[in-house]
Amino acid sequence: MRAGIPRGRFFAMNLARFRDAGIGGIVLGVAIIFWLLNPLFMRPENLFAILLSVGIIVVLAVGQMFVIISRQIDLSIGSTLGVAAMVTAMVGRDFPNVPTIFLVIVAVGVGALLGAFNGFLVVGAKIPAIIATLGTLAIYRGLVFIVSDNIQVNPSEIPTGVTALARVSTVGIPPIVLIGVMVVLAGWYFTRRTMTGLRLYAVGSNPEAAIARGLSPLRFQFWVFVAMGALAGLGGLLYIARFSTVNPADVGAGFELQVISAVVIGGTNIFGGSGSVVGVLMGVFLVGILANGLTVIGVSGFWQSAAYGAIIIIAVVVDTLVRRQMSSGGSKGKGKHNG
Amino acid sequence: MTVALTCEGVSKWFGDSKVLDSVDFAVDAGEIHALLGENGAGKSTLLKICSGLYRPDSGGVRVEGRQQEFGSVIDAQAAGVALIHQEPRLFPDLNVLENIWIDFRGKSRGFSLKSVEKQTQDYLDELGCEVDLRARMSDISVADQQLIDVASALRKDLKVLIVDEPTASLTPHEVERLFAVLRRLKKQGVAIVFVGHRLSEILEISDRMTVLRDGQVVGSIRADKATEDELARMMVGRNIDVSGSQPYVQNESTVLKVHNLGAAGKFRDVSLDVGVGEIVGVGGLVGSGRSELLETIFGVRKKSSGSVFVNGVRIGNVLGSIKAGSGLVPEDRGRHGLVLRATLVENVVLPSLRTLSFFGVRRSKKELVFAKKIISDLKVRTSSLGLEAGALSGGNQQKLSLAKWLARDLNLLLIDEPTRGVDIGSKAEIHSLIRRLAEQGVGVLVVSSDMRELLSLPHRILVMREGELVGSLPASGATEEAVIKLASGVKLA
Repeated sequence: MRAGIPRGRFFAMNLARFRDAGIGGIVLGVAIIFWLLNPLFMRPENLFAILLSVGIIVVLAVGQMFVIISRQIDLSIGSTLGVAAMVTAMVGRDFPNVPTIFLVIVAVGVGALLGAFNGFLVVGAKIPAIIATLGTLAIYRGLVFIVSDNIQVNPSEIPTGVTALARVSTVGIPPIVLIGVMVVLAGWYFTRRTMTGLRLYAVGSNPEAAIARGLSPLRFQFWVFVAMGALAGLGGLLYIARFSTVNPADVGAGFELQVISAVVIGGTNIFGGSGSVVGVLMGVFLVGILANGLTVIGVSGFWQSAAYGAIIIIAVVVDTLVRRQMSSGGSKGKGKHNG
Repeated sequence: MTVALTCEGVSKWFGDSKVLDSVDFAVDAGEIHALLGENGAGKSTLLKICSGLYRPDSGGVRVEGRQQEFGSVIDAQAAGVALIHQEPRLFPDLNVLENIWIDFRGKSRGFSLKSVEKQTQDYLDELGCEVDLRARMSDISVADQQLIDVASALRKDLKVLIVDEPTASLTPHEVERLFAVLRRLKKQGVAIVFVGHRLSEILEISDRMTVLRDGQVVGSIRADKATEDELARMMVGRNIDVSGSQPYVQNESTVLKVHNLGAAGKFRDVSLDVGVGEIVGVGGLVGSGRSELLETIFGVRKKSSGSVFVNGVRIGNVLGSIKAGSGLVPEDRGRHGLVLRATLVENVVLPSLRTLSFFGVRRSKKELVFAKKIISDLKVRTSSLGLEAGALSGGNQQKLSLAKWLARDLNLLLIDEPTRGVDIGSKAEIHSLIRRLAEQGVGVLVVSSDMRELLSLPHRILVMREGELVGSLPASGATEEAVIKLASGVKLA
């Protein structure tokens, strides 16, 4: 019996690594296919565009990974991003002289507030997250129309301090990408190096045990929604920078699909307790490349969302098969939580 | 001797029912004090109050003489009280090291999991637990998980250790290992509260015992003055039948014939017969393939070789099994044996819906009458038949898990750990129920890790080791030693 444990362990670790590497391989493969189908795909301008969109998605994906690890889900992120972007853009339009850092605070603050409301619904009012955040997805979308009076914020009205975030800076990399990198690093540090991060996995892995050991799953879940909201707010600011236009009808719409796809593709267990930032980063790249590549080769928007849907399902199926393989391979391992 | 833990006049209400009625309870430092009582006597509630999970409605808890205001587990931990549950409270996605330190609340400055690796290894060595610190908890055996749970209690400045039914899922060898650990802690001056159902074990390990019944303390006695019979009487308040089974009268016809049955990686080449009215016990260590054998016979686990016949009919899957009159009562009643969210009635009628329904339409009145009879036959104690099964105590859940098969015409009963985590009163009732079934001609195949049960309930004992059937003993002459010898493959001194 005991002799089998190290082998099972070895197996589980390798499969977790293998999964991250596997997604990396798929990312490369998909990129090469797009390149062959349309050489324009590999043009520097296009790769730059991919990097910008990845920078935004990854900020939300790291937040969503926290939420899913804690056994919850946030479907409202696209609308949260929308409200934060709209409010921030309007503040920038009406008070053109405020410093950019103030706009950052507005965006993050609005997002955190909406996230806290989600957290209150789920943790306080005990509404299942999938229903609560489906509700706020619609409510926050409505809020975008109400605060904006259905009036779009135009490029000329956006402060240049914000739009500069999407341009190549003195360091040679656009700040959006830098912010994305910072969020990834912070997420990695939090999950791999802090006790609080470890406890997040614990409450998702076995909430009853967590209570018996003096941890509060509810508190974690509340703050995870707040963090998700704050990151969606930050995403809203990046959205303004990238698109320079905030149209109430489509700001942030559909982001939840891209983000949840990325998180699940990255190997995050949809039932909580495990997931890695590295995997999620890979997942974001795949989603970002697909979104861009499908447009470049001329696939319509409808087929694009069908593609995300298909990818989510495929990712979950593959994940389930891998887990099953592991458990029949002599151990009950479910993939390493921090690969 | 100083008193480590004192409960004074502790009372607790749940709704209208008084679960604890001014309980006084004291444990000395360096003492192993057993807390006994039937399921529903209030043991768990008292333990939860001592460990900060519940707040008492009146009365108080003192640790080393200091009054405690336990509002949370954290408070209790800070006072040096730790609780180890029967199901280890661990995190499958985390590794061993992370599991042990997850509730570390000391200074975080300079703390890292790496810095405590050696210390943790020492705890595990001390417990005789040979696991890799980086191994994921989901890859670790239940026995080792329990020791890891103990290790995470050792980490703290431990004054009172409460162990709640630690031996329910352990093999005799693993129990010995755990007891050695408890004795060592006792020597170090830790007060230990021990809760269990196996009286022989309790007499072996504890210095003193306190019996609870219906939320009140019946009495405390010292171990050297106590006998099993007396303890049982105190717990139940009535005499219990602890006699063995009637001798089995050899019967021509067999109910179950198993031929060279195997399941990949679990067991191989098992052949056995169960006669009409015969109770056959299966002993062996946890992991020897016993539960898997039952599952394969019933058809929920895929067989890789061999064949199974019930009353001469070849069995291929669960549906065939049920049609042939087999029933399986699995070990984990919460997961596999019952639908916890469904009512008592629904649980009982579930396998009999075909006969109870009228062209696919359920008839609730008929179901109710039917379920009522069985539930009262089995003496399932419940306030209402409309209650969810999950609301029952362990012993009553087990009876209910049995009940659903009794509702049918049963030929073969496969039962895995029939009295695991069940109080002594229910245990006797379950045993007499199994015997009654056998007298009616049902063949019973029962897997048990409880040595007393294995020696007293069946007519014949089979022993498995590492996936193989290694021996068969007539129950009348079998001794604990003989079974252990076969099960472990080790010659005992």
